[in-house]
Amino acid sequence: MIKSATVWGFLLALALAVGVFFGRDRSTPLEALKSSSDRSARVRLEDFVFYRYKGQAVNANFSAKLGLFYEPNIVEMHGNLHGEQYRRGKLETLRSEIGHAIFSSNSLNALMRDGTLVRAYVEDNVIMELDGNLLKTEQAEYIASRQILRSHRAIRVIGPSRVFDGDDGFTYDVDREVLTMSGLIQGVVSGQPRY
Amino acid sequence: MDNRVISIVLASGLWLSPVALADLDDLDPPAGGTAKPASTSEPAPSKPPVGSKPSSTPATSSLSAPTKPGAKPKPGAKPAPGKPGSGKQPAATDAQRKKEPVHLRSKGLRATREKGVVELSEDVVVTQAELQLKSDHAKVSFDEAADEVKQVIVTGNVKVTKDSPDPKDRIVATGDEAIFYNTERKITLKGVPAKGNKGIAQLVRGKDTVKGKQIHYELDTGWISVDGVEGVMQPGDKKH
Repeated sequence: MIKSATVWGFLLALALAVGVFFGRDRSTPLEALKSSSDRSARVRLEDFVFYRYKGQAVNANFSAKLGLFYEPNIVEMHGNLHGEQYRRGKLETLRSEIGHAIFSSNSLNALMRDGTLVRAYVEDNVIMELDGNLLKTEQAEYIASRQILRSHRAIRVIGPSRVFDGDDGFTYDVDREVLTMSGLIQGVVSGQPRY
Repeated sequence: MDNRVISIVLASGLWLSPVALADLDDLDPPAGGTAKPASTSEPAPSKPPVGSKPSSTPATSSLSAPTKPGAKPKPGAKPAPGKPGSGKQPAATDAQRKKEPVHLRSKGLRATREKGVVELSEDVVVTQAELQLKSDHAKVSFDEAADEVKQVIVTGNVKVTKDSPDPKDRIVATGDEAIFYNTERKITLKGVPAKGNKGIAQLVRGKDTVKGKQIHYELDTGWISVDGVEGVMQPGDKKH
């Protein structure tokens, strides 16, 4: 009797595990984010600019043509996204056409008050300018907890009189300022500026 | 040619040119013996032990790149422009050569906050005009002000080749580490002793082979000097 119950219990647990495995959400975080946009936005901003202050001084700003705010913590942006921030005295810029940002807040009110960025995605003609170098790609993801910007798409890095093309994405450690490119890398360094 | 003679000459710290080598080739073979063609794989019989200096002065050898017999270009001398109809292009100036585009290829790249430095890894190929460096790893330094490559340090399975229309001027060099100084237009090739590796760098130009702990090659003059030389041979093309 006990043996039979054990066998049935094991089979039931196995069936549940199989069900969970096949029923899991296989969408990427970005896809999950986009599917959440099926709902109507609670707040809609057009031609907006956000400013971030450090004390009395602005040290970052972000603008876009359209901003859609979804409960509880998602912001979707479209059209001419442009961000600038000063870090360690250097200007860093980001441009793209579409962006999604996830904040740690549990409501839009909290997001507006002191929203902390958890993860952000930018896509379509993504151009970042970091320390005099341009990074061009089609999609990038920023993970705030690790301060890492990464992509699996092809990337082109344009520096003063040099160009590097990477086939298989990149990882940029924002804090340590280390850029790692993988896949086939091809570069040209010439005496002529390439900007 | 008796390799022993050459090794002794090299160990004495004398500079030796291919012209001098040709003169040595003209020497009669030793009495009672036959002239045995040396091969690139055959080490010199009386080579000094690697890692030890054979004399009080460092063993240093240099090979020039003569374009005709009897001509011995001096270090730092600029190559003569090619003659019309000789098949050679007019020689570019040093400034033009170092401004030639440098092509880089690898399977990984890492750039740190160290300004103007890029590290390449795995199947690295660095090419500038007729010069090519292949290795496992490379560190490329840029001259930000001049917008050009300052130097390239390549390590691991290093192979340096310099193509030339004249087969005698073609260079194939191997070693464990090489530094390409683009500004000075020279390459220093090193052998790094490791387990199962004697740490010998080797350079082959035409039919001449040079082995040593460190080989310096000037790209524009073709001047070669060797530290800790192991042997210089001229395989083939022998007079019997």
